[in-house]
Amino acid sequence: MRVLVISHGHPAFSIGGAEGASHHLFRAINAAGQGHEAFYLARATPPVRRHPDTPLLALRQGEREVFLHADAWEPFWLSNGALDDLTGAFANYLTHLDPDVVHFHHVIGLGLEAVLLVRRLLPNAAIVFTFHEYLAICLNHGQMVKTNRNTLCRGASPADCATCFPQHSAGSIFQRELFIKDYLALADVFISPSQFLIERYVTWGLPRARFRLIENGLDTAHPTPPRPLAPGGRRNRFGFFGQVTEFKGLLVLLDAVSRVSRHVWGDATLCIFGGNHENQPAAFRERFARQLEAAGRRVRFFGSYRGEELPRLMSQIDWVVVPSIWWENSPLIIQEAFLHRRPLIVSDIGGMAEKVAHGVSGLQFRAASPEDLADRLGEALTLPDLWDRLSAAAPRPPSLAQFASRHLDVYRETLARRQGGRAKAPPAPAGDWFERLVANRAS
Amino acid sequence: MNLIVNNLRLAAPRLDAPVSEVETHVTAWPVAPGALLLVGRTWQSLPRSGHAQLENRRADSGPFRAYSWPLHDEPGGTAYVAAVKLPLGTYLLPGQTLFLTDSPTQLDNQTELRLPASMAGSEEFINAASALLEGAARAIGTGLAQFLLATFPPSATRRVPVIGTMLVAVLAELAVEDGCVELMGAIPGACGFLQGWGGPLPQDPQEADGSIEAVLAGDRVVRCRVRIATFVRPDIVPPSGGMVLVVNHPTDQGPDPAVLAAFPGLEQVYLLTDTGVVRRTVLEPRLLNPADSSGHIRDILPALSCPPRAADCLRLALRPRFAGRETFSTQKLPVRAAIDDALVLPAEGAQTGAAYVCGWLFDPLGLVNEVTLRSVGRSGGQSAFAARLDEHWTLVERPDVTKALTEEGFPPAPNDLHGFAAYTVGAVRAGDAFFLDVAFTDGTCAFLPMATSAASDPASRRRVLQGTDLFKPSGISVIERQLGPFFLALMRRPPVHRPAQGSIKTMLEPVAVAVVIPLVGPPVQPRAVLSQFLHDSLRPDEALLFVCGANWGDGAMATLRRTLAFMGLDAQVLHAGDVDDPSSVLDVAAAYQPASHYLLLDPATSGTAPGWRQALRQAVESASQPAVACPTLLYEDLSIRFAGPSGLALSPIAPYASVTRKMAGMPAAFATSRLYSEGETVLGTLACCLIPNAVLHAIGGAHTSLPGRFGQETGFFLRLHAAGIACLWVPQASAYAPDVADPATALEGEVGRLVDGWCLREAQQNGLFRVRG
Repeated sequence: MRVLVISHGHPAFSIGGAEGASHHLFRAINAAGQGHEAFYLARATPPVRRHPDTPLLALRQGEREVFLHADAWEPFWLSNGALDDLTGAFANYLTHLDPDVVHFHHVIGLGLEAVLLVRRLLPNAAIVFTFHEYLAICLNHGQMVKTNRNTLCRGASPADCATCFPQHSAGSIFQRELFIKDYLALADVFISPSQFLIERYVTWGLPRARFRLIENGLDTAHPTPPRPLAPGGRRNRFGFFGQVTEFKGLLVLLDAVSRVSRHVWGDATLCIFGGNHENQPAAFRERFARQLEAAGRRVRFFGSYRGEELPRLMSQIDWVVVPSIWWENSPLIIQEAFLHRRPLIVSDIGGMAEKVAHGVSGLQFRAASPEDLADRLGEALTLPDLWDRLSAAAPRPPSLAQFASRHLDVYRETLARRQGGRAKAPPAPAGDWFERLVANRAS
Repeated sequence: MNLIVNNLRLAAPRLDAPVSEVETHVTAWPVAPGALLLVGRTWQSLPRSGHAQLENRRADSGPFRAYSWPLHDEPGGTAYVAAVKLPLGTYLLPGQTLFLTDSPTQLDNQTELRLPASMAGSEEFINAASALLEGAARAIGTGLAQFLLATFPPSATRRVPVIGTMLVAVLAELAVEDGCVELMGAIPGACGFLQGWGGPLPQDPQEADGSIEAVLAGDRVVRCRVRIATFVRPDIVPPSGGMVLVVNHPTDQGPDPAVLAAFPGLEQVYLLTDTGVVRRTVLEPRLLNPADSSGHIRDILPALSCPPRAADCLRLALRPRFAGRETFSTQKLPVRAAIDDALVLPAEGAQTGAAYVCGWLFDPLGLVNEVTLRSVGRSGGQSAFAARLDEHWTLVERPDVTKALTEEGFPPAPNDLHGFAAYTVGAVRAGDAFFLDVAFTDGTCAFLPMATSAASDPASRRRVLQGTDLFKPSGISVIERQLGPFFLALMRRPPVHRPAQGSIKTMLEPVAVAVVIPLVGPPVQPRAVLSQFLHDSLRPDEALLFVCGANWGDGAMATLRRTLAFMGLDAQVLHAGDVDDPSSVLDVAAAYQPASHYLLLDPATSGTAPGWRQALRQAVESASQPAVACPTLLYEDLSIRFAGPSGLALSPIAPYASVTRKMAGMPAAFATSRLYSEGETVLGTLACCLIPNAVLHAIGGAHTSLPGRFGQETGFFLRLHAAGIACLWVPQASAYAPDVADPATALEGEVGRLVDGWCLREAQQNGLFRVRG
């Protein structure tokens, strides 16, 4: 089976969960052997320059990795204005490669039109879509967080979305919804690493029958042992891993750290490992700097890191904090924390609450509440045996091989449906969505 | 006609009717094709007018009229001049008989008139007439002259010179010499004048404007009417005195140029009064040029004594004429003006023309007396259009004008009401040039030319609507008194159908259903309407047609075509010029894509499930009467936008007319329930409507000449309703029709909405809606 994995970024150039997950899958399928091979196509953007006569680039990555320079992205419609690049270079690549499966991890840059092109050029191929966030639903970077004071959005509607984005009418937002659904209907299967995300998309109107839950896999070969403790020492090293953005809840964490009493905090430390800080809005950068300074020696900011550094960084950490103020899907760091048996302290919403059982594999705190987080930090620092108990109960994340195997099962099932002449899954007609929407609205 | 064969009588008279044999001495002159003039003497009186028939040939007959007077030298005898009109091609032979009666149906008492042995020429006829008139002038008075003038219109006099010659000869016999003409001049476009001296002339009491008939003879003969002004000449013995004959067109728009052209060669002036014909000979005349003529009249005007109409004529003649240039900026009074927009609707057949003008007139000191909209014809002459604007215009607040002109040093104005909007009707002609004629209290005036646009031009209509500010107190008044009536006049006209441009030059293959998508807004790619076809493919008997309006340039259309090709959609893309409304788009599409049905589909509308188009078609084809069909339409929040029963609510105040939709806003599930009764009126929606070609043809097209979307849509369905065509609501078909209107432009459409409402209310109340064609 030949699989083409499509992502909006390559981990060599862009640090992010979706990039990492998609590239893991690509490597894992190739490692699986048994006649399976995977190829990887990622989007390239300025400052990378395209070749004069083609949007395809290699950028000195592996021989099965290629880049498509796409710079005509229309974010409102998830659309690509440069159709010529799709019908030219991208179509040529597809035709040449002739994959059995095309697996989209994102359409950012390539546009939903790429899905149509795949369907037309490869009528027998399976089209698989992995959702990493809610970009199809939410205009606010797919976070489902309202633009007004970052409160959580619990359900999309054209009228609500128009409140967050008054430059768009409710009617336009509805048109966007119809357009995106029409193209998503061309896909055979939707994959999500969290049940929470599945429910959100089903509520939005995608058919439940098309969803598969596959947790993100990791290289589980070398879990890091616990940090060595001096006699009488405490498990008092907290770590944050991720992009330094407001949605990741760093401001809540910094606030919480400063609320823990000196007596309890003692010599504990919070280590922040993360990048992309320089690309954030000025207001956030200023607040972050202020709170960082106010935290004094309690917090150490180490900047960005590479994925291969993670085991070493984990060796210095006892607890992993995921204080996101948005729903999250299935943050990779949670699986990585499980792998290295570092108990988690997470917000009690979305995918975080789904993955981390409070009091079992970690602790939950009330999302966006520095007071509640401060209490959890205090418990982590003071309750005896808590760390041991939680660490022992950490579930084992799927390995890359398992990750690949689950995907391959889904591919096979889908291809059998498409090519076997048995009940092929036609694109869900809009009426299904209408009926579901009406039923949901009525309920 | 002037065929002389021999002196042979070809037909016998009718034996069954009494005949009054008339022995005549006749001179006959075929003065013009189809016209025979006779002069002679008889001992029986001829009918004054009636029917003449040649021999017994009914086909060779026509009207006649005669004037007779007693012979002074043969008691009991009568002289006469008669004019007979026969059909062209009638063969007249010498000795043939003309049978004359009072009425073609009364064959009793025919008078027989035998034609002479030979037809006369003009000179012979004139000599014969002169001989009969000799010595009889006083007895005749002006009767014969009036008869000839009435028989031959001024145009005949000009066209057939001999008629003029004959006329002058007769007048010469009848006239009494009284005075002369010494000075002539003309003010082009205003009047001509003949100045001299003579005896007092009575005004023609039958003419309300105080003018009398005149014949000017010289190297050409022309007729005109003159008004008489007198002045004291110390060198002339009373009651004679100085006299100015003012030559002017009866409508006071300027004298006939042909009359003025006769001045240089003028020799005599014959004036027809109640008491006789007066001749003024032109003696060594001075002919003034136009500039000197104006100065001369201005100089003597204070000394003239004349009826008010004559005085007005002269004063009007002295008024500056519009020379095609703006004169406001050069006149010294603190008055300024500008035109913002002017739309004209030319007269057509029985339909009167109309004009709408808006602008501003800054007159802080109240120096303006009259504001008149006038036009100049294509040849440069004044046309018939003149209409006072200030008597019924709407004043509009223009603080910007106050501020700007006050800063320039103009006197302060008591208020900001300098703007105006005016609607007027009249003999508007296509191609005329319009100007504003502003008369001041001191007798001077200023002109302001203006560029006009056709009322049918969509861009001009949009501009006019955008220039109307509803937030001003005058806003509603402008709509109710000016814009509304103007667009109502436009609405009464047949719509102007514009041909499509672009790649489609010939008609396409006929299809069962043409899905027509109007792209008349900003050139945004219609993604949502296109993506629905990914899962609801077009059938083989369906065609997809995009019709682009004014905002779509070549680039945007090329992008659309590329997108269509990428999606594998076989669709045509037309450019319809400056069309900006869906109903006009439909008319354009129908002209190019033959189809049994047209589905007009707004680009924001998309079906909720495959098969909805077929459901509409089935409903229309199975209907028991001609019908159009609309599906259920849902807003983005899944509430009902359209589901059947609707009505037109009229109101005396804005918005004047609105469509009420019974189930609008209710949850979608309500659309499947039966909350209405059969027979309820349904006013459909152009957001999605299936229209059979036969229906479109029956009502003369989809376009209703109203400026806004509301008017076009509602007007269309009201026209259907008036034509007895049903609008079906098909609940088993449904489509999403989100409201994608840009809130920023909502107010821009509000003026059009109110104008539409006003016009529809007026039309509905006056029963204007009816089937065309």
